[in-house]
Amino acid sequence: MSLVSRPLTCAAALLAALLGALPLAAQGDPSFWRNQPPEQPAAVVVRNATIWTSGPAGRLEGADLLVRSGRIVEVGPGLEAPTGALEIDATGKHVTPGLVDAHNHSAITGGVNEGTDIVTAEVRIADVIDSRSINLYWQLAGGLTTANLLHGSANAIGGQSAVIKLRWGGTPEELLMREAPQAIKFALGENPKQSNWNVDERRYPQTRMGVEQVIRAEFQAALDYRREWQEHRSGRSRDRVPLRRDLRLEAVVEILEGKRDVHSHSYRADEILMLMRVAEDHGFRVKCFQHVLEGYKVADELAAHGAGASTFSDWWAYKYEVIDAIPYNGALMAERGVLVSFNSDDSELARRMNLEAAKAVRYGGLSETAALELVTINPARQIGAGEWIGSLEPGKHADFVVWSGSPLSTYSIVEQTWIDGRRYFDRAHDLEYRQVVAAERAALLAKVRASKEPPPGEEGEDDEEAGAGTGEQPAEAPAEPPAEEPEPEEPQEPPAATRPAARRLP
Amino acid sequence: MKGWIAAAALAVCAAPAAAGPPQVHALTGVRIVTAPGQVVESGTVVLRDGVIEAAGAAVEPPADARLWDREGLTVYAGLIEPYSVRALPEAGDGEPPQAGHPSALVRPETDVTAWAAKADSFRKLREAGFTTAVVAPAGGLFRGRGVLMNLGDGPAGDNLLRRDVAQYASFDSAAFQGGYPSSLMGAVALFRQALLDAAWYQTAQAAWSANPAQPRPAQSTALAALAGVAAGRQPLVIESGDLLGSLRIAGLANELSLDVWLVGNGEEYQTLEPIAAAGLPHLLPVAFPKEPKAPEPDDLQTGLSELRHWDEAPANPARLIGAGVRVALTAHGLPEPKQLHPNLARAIEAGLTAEQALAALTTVPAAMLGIADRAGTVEPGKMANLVVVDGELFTKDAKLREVWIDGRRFELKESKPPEVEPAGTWELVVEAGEGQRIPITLTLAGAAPSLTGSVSAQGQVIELASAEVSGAEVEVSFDGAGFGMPGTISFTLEIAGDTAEGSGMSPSGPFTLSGTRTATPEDAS
Repeated sequence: MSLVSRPLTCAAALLAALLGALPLAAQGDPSFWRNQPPEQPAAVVVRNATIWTSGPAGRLEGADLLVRSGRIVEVGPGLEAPTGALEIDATGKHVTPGLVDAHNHSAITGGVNEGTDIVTAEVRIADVIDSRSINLYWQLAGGLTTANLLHGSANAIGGQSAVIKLRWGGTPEELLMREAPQAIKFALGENPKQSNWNVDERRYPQTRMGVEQVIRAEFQAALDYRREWQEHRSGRSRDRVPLRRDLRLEAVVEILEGKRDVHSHSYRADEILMLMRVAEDHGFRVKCFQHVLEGYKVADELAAHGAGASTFSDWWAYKYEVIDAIPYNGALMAERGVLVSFNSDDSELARRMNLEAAKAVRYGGLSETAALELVTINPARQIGAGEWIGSLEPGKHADFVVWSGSPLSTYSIVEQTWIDGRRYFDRAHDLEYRQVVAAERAALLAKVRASKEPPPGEEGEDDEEAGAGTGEQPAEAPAEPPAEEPEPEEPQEPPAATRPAARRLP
Repeated sequence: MKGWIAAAALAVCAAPAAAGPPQVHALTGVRIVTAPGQVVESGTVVLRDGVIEAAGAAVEPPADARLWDREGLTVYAGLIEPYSVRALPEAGDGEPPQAGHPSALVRPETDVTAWAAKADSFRKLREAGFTTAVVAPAGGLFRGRGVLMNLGDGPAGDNLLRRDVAQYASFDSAAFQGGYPSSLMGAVALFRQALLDAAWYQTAQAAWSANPAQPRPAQSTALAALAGVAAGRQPLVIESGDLLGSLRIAGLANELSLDVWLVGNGEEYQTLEPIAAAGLPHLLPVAFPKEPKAPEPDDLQTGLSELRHWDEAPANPARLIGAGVRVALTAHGLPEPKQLHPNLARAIEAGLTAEQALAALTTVPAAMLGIADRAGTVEPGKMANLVVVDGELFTKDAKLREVWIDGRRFELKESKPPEVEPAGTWELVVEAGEGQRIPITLTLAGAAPSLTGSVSAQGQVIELASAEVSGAEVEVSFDGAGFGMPGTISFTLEIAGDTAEGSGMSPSGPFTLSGTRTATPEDAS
């Protein structure tokens, strides 16, 4: 409170004078969604930090990080920087790769689930990215730079996912990480079989057996579809009625052809084994199991199949199929050679992924660097982007975070977050700018009051509904997006903005 | 149903010329804004048989013209409303049309022509200076085809300018009906698939026509109706909803090579660059956010984004036009069309020029709708569609005096405080010429100035579209379709105690009526 109320009378007056002249009062406010991207300095050098590379070099003390044109050039001690390079003194500070969340539902508008049909492979998260969501800025402030935006888990084959970089201020298109491969969400168990839904009309399937058969049947339909097209293309007769394109089946064909990775919501060992068998029967591999809370029971099978496992640090007991979850799951799977990450599945948790990683030191005794890799290079590889992000190595995107201390400490905070060699979050600038924002706010409130001066004999009209603002949060702050699950009680939900924050039910 | 209107129709057919007012008019001594930025300080406008014959300083009124002294007033081309949305008359019917699309959200074959003419809506548009409008269907993802009409009374056919001007669409989730889709991304997927299907449909039908010795592809009225849109030949007007919607739709237009017109959302100023780069024409509402609640200096309840938007939104039209976007303005989204003028006054205060505003309501929509050769300016050869103003358009105190539509004058009365309470049952006799006398019963309920009620004749009962009291008069309108006469029937009654007399207009022509009140609401209770 005291931060915003004290010394600002002067600034308010100044800003009031400026308001008319500024083309856009919000320009410059780091928390305003639509800004020009931060400039990309030709070269940046971070000096004398503890650098967690999440790469073969491990953790380096007193090291420098050199960036040119948005790419990492070198990591090591005493680097020579080109003249004019932006120097950041990071003495006593820690630098990590930008954090990566392999399972995120923030910044999706108009519903996270197309939960109607059991297969909705044609729907695309990329069509509905909410680049205005203030979650993006808040997660940036927690060091997150890349998020795998996934469809929900209401149906066996959900929708196509989208990997975004948190290029706050950009349009939805500008957020997309073009290098990442195409992917799709599957879901197994209680959600697709509607165990916890109160629905008027039940949907096939209602059992785990049925979920498997739905997936197999869809693959068969896709194979038939592909064969029809192959025959059609090879046919030469004139005036033949052409085949109709089916976007749902086309997406499933892409899975079978290895052009679309599968990320599958899963909990129990049996369903994990089931999907691996179905995939192997169809000649592909599941890229990554999500949640996978019984993964520790089938860690060897996961490793042999080559599937990644993106799990929770310590969520369990929120429904029957997760009763066997344990916080050692991540460490146990990692020990058996599974590529493991921790994910958020939650807009709030995604602001502190570093602390999720730290729990793997406490539960299971992973080394500190291996623990951090659960939220850097491992999820980057799981989403097929390990070639470009997830570690601080020459040639990779300059996505990095400057921390006040060890990233595994609850006392550490993010000071700067960089993406593509651009400083998207700077805590010092944010704190400083709050005064300007407070002044702007005061000036606007004064303007509202002035416009309400009622003409003689007339009462200013007031609307009860107006003014349902978002408190002090500055920019567009929609209601917290729903957690991944369809609300079991009410599968056909109103749009996210109109309902209370969803229960967290991973 | 047939009785009195059929009789009226006969009467009008028998003597078409005698019924109407004089067909030649001259507005004299009037300031003429012939086109945006072009003004004749004092001149004459001559209207003959629904067409502008002459307009200018040196024009002499012809000898056969009825003269209207309009000194001190200004005449503009009638405004064009590009987006007047009309709900289907019987929503929620539920039965899918035969040979239509399996999704109830995809009804592109819907043709709004059959119920486009609506008296109270047309009257309200006229009160805002509009003389021409596109009426577009409401509800659904693909909503159907719009119709371009003049806003006169009388038969819908006389007002109709062009059917099927565009296809209309929206991703508004309010239309979702349970089942697929339930999400925005599902709606986008359905949109994409439907347009792919429409393109496929054309080639499939053509291939089968050329070679019927193969399985016959199913017919679909819906896919056939989308052919022009899918081929990029017909404009697809899409409600953007918000800024993300604008960007999303621009991406779809590019991906599917569509000719899209966006219905704007008022937030465009926040990210002009990609919107201007997309180059989609806009039908831009002049609706601005409500003033935030009266805040205390230390108020923390009102969001900063809300405050900023309230402050900047009036500049949106100027910014969007300034960025090079083709903009036609619309009163869509306003509580009443006439709110357009005070709102435009705010937009002008925030940087829009009056010329830009006028162009965006006349020449720009005329060009977009393909009627630039007959509408949008006060020039010889154009439709006699005018708006006459005491003062300037788009000012807070502009007094719109009259509009002319196809050379017919519509006086814009400022509604006076009600002096009568006409609720009750009225037994009236309609005289429609040639001695035809048809008894009708008018039932009015509620209190002035706005009542509800019905009119019945020969066993048919029709609900009133509107019944508005002004001074000692009540103006009543309803849809004549129930009497077998699609179009608007309206009349005005002057009330004196329990007696009433007045005149009106039906799709068949004018009529007079008179009668008495036989019961009041108190009698009933």
